[in-house]
Amino acid sequence: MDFQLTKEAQAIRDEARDFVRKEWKNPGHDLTGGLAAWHGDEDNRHAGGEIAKEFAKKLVDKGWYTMHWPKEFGGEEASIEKQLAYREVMSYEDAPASLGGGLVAPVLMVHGADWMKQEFLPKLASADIEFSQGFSEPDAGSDLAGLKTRAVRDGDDYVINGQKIWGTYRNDWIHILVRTDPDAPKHRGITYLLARLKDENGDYMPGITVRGIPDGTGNHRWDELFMENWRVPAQSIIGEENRGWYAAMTTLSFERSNIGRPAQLLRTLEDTIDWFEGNSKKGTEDTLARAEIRNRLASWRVEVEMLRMLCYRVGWMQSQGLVPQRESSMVKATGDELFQRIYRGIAQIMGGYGNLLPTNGPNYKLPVNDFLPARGWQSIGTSIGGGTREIQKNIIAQRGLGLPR
Amino acid sequence: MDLGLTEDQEMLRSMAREFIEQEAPRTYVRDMEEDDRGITTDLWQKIAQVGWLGLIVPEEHGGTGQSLVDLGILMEEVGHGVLPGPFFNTALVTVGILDSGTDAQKAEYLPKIANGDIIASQAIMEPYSRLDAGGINLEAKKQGENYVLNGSKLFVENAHVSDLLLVPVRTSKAGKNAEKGITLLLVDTNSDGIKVDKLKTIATDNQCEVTFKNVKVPAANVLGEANNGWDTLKLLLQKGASLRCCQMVGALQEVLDMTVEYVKNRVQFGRPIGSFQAIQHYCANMATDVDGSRFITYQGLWRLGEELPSDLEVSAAKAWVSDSAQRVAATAHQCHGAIGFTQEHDLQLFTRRLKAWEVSFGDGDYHRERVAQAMAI
Repeated sequence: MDFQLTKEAQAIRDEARDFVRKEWKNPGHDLTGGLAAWHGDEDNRHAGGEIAKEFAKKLVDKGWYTMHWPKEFGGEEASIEKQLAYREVMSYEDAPASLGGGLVAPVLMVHGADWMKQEFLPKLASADIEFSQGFSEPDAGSDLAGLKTRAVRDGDDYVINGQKIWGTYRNDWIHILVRTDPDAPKHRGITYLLARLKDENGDYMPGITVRGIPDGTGNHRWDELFMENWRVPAQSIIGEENRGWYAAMTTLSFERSNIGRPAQLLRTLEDTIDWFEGNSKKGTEDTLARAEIRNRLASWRVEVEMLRMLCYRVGWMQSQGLVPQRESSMVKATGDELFQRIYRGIAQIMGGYGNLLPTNGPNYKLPVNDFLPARGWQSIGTSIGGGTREIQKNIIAQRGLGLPR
Repeated sequence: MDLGLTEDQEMLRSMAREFIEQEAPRTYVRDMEEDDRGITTDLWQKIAQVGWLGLIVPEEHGGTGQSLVDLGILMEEVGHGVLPGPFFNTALVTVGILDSGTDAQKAEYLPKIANGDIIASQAIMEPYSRLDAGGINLEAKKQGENYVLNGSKLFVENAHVSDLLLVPVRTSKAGKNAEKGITLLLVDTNSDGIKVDKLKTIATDNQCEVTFKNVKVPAANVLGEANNGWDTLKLLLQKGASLRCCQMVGALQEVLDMTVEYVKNRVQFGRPIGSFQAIQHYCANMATDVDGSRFITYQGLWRLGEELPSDLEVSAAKAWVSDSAQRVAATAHQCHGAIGFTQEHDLQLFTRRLKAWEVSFGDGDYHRERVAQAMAI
């Protein structure tokens, strides 16, 4: 038993910490909150994306951005432990990016046609391209395999009709799941495509319409994508026709402990304590002396530690060549819920400040950073996106504990 | 990072499970709930023979010199089988003597502990049930080569069968700093003036009140440094909390397994209740609580064993495990329906002990305050 990281992992942790502290000053964009991020309007979201990209390019220069990739594609096949240590410190330091390629890169590595690998893997590795993701539909959320967007073969093209939702369809390219065989069992009639969303001039392809969806406070979060007789070349298939579901589930054995979650929460707790300490020095009430506040902060700290251990367990299993399943679902379900409780709880302790939006201008500088209170509200989405809490618990119960369906 | 067990540790675990299944099955556990001593001499001797009592005792003193984590793994099995008797207490006193005893004390007590000749327990708490330094008020006055003890200790597990008690006492008045003036003594329970009263508790865990009236303890029996015993005691409390967590993890795993088995087989409305999503999510919550408990516990214990800073990690573990134990037990009862609440069913054997262990070595609130201090709030 050994809860310490290897020397190699400790070294990258220290090096990355020093690097981020030197190279990254957050210019007021919420770039690390994931589903709970505050983007403001569309322009602000775009600006944030550019800032994150600029930082990612620095990571490319350091050789860190694709350390997890196979050597064949220019990576270094970094050990799981090294990836975990690196991600943990990057999240703790509030860096806007760490490892590149997202979910698309491993799919392309395994199932992509040669032209896709040649065209896109270098651009993913250099942080020059991002893909939109076309999975969810209005009637296919948790039951994703029930998706209905229809692709019909016509000569060398597919003609696509349907609707996608809960993504942001602002990139030039999209990876998208479509139904090619409506008569087959639902998982077996799906094809996975890599398609152009915009032409070289940045205009949407014929048949594509995109509409923004703001969340309840007007924060731009998602889009709807409407496809009407959109023609996509058949050479866009990732893998094989009607085998798209299985290709989309490819993850390779990249580190996926979600260690960034507890790291970010730990940083939030520490920043919050600093904020209250700063206030009490200015002569306001000493909030941190109140027993109930101490108890709550300590309680969150305990839970962050527990979550951190569940994440380490996933990383450790992967380092042993095992494939975590219910263990990952535990991390997701627990982490989402804790994230929500901590941000809501902090927003509550901060009183009226906890309800301010980050759009009041410099006279109303918000606690800790400009967007932290908003995350209490924004965090509603975390236990929905990426597989709802209920789906995670089903996985734990059915696949983990063997309870009957 | 390696969160797994070595081959030797796997073997320790499986042999411990087999031993308890054979020598102390649930029928035995139930018998011992009615028994005044709470353990048979026969079982204690067998426990000595399989080497548990000497597990962490160095070879030169008749043991096998294994690690604190090894002891934790064994303690997990002790919890899993709700093993009756004073194994936990004897092991903890062993830890205390190993950490802070003189060579003479080690040579005197460790071989006897390892071969099962003496049973030991820690006698820390006093009336008012406090775990801080200010709660240690049992008076001990130095008279010549002896300390003379007057006062009482409360909630001393298995004192009624113990030969040796590890007793923190107050050797100088608690001034502004209550941590000063505490001394740890090894007290022979055959000394004149000691009275032991066993208490009835929910867990039938043999809690006793021990009264000291002019009890003479030789100064040679001071464990660690006289008047400066708080740091020694603090470490012992941490190790106690951490090992208690291990015991709870074992019990919690069994509660989870028992519940999963039950809901797979219990049929209502023509289907196993384990197929209902409400029940499935209860079980998923329990499994997450149990797994979280396991890894947060071993992190703390491992750090203690490595002598790394562990105030935050150990208290985080006890806070988490204490609270999640109550959630897991309550959910297990909900899944079991009425039957789990009855004496016939084994679930109550676990629930009652988990309730006792919740507060043992500090409950969630106590340890959260310690976490707050470790966070420098």
